[in-house]
Amino acid sequence: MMTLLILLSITLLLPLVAFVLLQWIGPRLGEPLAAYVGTGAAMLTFGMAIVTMIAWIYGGSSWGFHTGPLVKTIGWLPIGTFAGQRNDGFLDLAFYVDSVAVALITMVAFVSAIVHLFSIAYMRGDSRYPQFFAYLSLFIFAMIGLLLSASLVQVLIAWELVDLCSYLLIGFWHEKAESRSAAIKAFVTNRVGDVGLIAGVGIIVAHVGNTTLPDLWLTLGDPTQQIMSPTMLTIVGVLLFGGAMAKSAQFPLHAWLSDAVAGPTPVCAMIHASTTVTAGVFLLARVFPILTPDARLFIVVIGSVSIAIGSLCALAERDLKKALALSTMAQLGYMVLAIGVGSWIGAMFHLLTHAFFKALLFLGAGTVVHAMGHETRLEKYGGLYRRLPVTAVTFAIGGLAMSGAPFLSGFYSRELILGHVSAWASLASESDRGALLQLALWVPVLGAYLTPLYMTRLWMLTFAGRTRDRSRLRRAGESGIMSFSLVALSGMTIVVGYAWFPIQSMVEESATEARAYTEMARIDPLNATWPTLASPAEIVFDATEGVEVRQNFRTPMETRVAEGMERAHRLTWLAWLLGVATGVLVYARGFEVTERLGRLPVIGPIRLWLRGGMFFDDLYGLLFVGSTMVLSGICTAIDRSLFDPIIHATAWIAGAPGGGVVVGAAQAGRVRVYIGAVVVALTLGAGALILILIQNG
Amino acid sequence: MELIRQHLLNVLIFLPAVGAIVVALVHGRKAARRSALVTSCVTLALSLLLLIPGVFDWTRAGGYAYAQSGGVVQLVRRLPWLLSINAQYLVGLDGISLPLVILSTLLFVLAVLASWRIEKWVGGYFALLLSLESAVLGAFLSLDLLLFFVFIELALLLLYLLIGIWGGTRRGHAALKFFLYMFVGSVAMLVALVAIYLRTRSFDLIALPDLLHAVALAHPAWAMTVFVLLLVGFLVKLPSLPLHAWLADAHAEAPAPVSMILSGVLLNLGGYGLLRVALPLFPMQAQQLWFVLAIIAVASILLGALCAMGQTDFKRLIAYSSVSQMGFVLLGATMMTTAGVGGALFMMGAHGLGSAGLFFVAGVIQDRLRHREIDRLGGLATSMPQCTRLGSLFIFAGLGLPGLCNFVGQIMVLLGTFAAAHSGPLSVANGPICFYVLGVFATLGFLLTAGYMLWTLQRVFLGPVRPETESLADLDSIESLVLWTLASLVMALGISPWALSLIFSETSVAALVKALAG
Repeated sequence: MMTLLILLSITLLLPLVAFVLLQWIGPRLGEPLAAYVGTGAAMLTFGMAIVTMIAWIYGGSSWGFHTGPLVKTIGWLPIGTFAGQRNDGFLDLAFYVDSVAVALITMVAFVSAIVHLFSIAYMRGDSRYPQFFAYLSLFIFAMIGLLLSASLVQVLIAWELVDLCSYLLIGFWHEKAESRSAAIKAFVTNRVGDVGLIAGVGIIVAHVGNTTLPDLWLTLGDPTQQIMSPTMLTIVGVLLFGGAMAKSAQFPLHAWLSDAVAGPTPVCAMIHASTTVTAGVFLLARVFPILTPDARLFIVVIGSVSIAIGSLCALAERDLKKALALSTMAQLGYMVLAIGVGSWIGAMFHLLTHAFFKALLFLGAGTVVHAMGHETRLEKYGGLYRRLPVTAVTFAIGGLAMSGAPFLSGFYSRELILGHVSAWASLASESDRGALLQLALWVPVLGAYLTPLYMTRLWMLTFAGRTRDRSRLRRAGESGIMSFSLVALSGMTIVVGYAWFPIQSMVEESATEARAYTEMARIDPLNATWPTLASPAEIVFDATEGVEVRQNFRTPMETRVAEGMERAHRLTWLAWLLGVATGVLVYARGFEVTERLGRLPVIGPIRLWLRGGMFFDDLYGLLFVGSTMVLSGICTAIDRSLFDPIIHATAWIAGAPGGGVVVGAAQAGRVRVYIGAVVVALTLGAGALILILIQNG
Repeated sequence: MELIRQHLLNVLIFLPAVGAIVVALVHGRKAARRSALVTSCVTLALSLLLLIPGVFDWTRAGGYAYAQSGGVVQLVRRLPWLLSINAQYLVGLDGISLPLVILSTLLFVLAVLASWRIEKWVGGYFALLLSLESAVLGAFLSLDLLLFFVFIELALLLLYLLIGIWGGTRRGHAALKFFLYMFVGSVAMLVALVAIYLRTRSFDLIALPDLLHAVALAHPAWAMTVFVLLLVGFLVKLPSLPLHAWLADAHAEAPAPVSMILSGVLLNLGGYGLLRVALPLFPMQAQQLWFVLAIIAVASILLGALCAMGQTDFKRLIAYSSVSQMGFVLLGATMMTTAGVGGALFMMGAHGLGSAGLFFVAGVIQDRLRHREIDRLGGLATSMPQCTRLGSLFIFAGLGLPGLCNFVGQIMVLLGTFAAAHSGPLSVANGPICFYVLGVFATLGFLLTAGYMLWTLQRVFLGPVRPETESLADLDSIESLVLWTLASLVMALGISPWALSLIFSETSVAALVKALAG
């Protein structure tokens, strides 16, 4: 146990040390050296993560792969004692290490190391070069800290640190107004989510007195204990999901994500692949046992809506990086949906595969942007495969993986999700809301058609055909470092989905480990049955793992899932083929076909609507930002003129006439006013004194 | 050791005053500065002696006023003072005053350092500053209501002079406004004091809670009146809505070191008064009035943030953010839960460090540019990287970033608010939903703060370089020292709040909460 803890601490603290070091002496190290320090630390972190993984797989007596999780709690803040509290009066920080956490840490370390490597070339010549690597290092620290968290408070801490890094890196080129506003937008939108998380944590603390996840699984996840009413628990679930919604860019808190591409492109690879956006899904997977069926239904709806919005907007987006950002939103929608239907295994698996291909795609976009002199608009691109052959090929691999092409990682993970969704939907069709819930299947299938379509579009418009604006081309092509990074990520993208690769089994084993841990207390959090109508969600999950609650239903669950998987298998193949075919047909000649389509009466406005991101930005700008600014203006004005009761009252008593004059007098600082004030205060005071004396008898 | 235990508090209170006399007598600016620095440093060192286990035993540092619950204050010194009205010179220390005393002595050292550039009547300035330290420490340490009042009044008078003489162009107006507000608070407090005395014939804060318990039962209306008067006295200083209007003017005109003291020490006197006097003396009244207080607190948090968003003067903006942050102190104290009260206490310290840092950064900027108009700033990151780094640190602390100290205070208060739904005295008579709603609204302040703080960061430090900010000098060594001291404390307390601060006050807070629950 000690060994693993030491290994984990080194993995966690190495990036932090690198951050402090780079903050301290970074400017003195100068351009290449600072990058070497940062990259070296990132690579060491990856090495440590691998060592940790090996140690984990070997395992100890009570922890390790397939054996059980490693749990460690540390008292952090005294918050007083509560009825159901398991420790005396402290709010805990807690570490919970299981297979999925180890796998995710390794993934984060790998992707970050590659991003570091890529940035050495990409950021060359930047005036704040050392700073960039310092922030990247902090980012790794925050993310690993999050992946080790097993208490909601610690999740909140890590989240905010992740937000900080997102803010710093999105706004890295703060001379550009666009970067500045994108950075603020990202932070504040995530704070909106954090309000939800804090509220959820607050309600949980009020009931349980702690936020350690295993404790919550055992107490709140066990409906027989009735610590919280089901309604309240649903509210808590939705509130916690609110936090995840912002982090993982789900509707309606998704608007920050496509602006966040204003940062340097390697940063996007971090944010969209391995760090910020995965945080939300990770939290959902961790709190899964306490989500009620109603909360999960809500999650299903939000996930589906996000898939639809992301895929549709990506279809019309004219900016390469923004289109990729929208695809992230859609892919995260799949993960969220998976959590909602109970397949957190599918969600975690997709999270891992997505991280590799999305990092690959963004770094590919990075070389393109680099070669085009920081131009990101698709209409300037075209025909870049000649100049950037490695990028073209690797981008195609990434795109194919994301669109669910057979034999690439994305195919396996998304098929798993679709299979579970399909089983869920077929069960749901028997309930009274059945017809509506069928949508939950057809939206992801639509997404499975749209994804290959827009990925083909992106690839064709960027790499195929002829370069539309040659003036933008820079001499900078693919440097060796960049190509290496892309190839390394492509390799992972291909292999990570296969069953022989340890990732999938690590995700699945984490369920066994959680069981092993909680069985000590004789309650299985993952099998919680609810006093309300048992949701199909648990059933799907159980069917893949065990058969505990099957007797509640007439049909054997295994059949359902098998049927669902088969259906999903057929559908994904079909959708993928159709999507690619449509993409090739429409975009074979660049923008020609779409321009013609755009002139049609209905399609034109729709295209405009999609291009504007469905105008959520403008709506939110008006609704929230605008109203807050107006409110702030009103408050300031009132505060300045009217809200000065003492000066007012005194001025009035001292005989100064009328409102406006009073203010004027007060602000001009007329002596009379102040003398009046003294008089009034004394009178009031003496009056009160006399009153009390009279009462006193 | 016994010698230290007997005299330490007295020395702490009067040493700065002695130093003030020395400063006033020595010749030359240099000598005055140096003797002021030495005095404040010695005071700081002496106050740190309190952390030695043999001097102050924090494990039994129970709240002073609850003899029946087993806690007593420590290091008590009791001397007869005004015999005819039974007022005493009574000082003592517990876990609630300890962190505030150390924070104050530290901030005075930093304020002396920050005043190094002041040229106007140096001797007088430092003499007043040191006298202020005496008065403030006296207020934090006294356990006699009248003595407490006298020290507070003295502190206010000295601050009035410091703002009125060494302030900016509109210092007269600001000083008078400050005086007026404080005067109202003082009159209210004085009336309450007299009323309490007439009922109980005592000013002894150790004995008063028990004495007043019976009185408050017999005369609820009287008790409520006195409680409200005390509240007015302390809420003016905190400051919370609607008594906050003096703060922005005072800060805008006060020199940077005085702003540091004002925000880091004087405001805490308000919060301290709540925890030491108003709540323990009238717990039942506090429980009756809790909802009003909570609404005031949440309104302060939200409206303070909204007003801060609308400011164009950097220092006024920080002042309004103070209003917003001190709202958390009031909210936490009102909730009467361990997390709430502990969080309120921690928040006082956190706010004291963070906003003192920000005010000093504002002072540095004003020193370089001769103005603080946010819209005319920007691009300082290029010319003043060190200042930008530290300034952003304090800004991030202000918006409650984990790892920096304000987060700890805010999250404790917020959790304390939610927790009050099911534990603590308020949960008995009130449904949980109102606490949840209050908690959510307070959390919205967390959101607004992020917005305006980051916006400020960008407008002041980031963005393209402007011609007038192109060639500014970065921090000199004294400025670096001041800011790095504050910054490292902000970080250290944020990372390890328990070992560095909460451990000293926990038993006292627990005793206070127990006493409030009755």
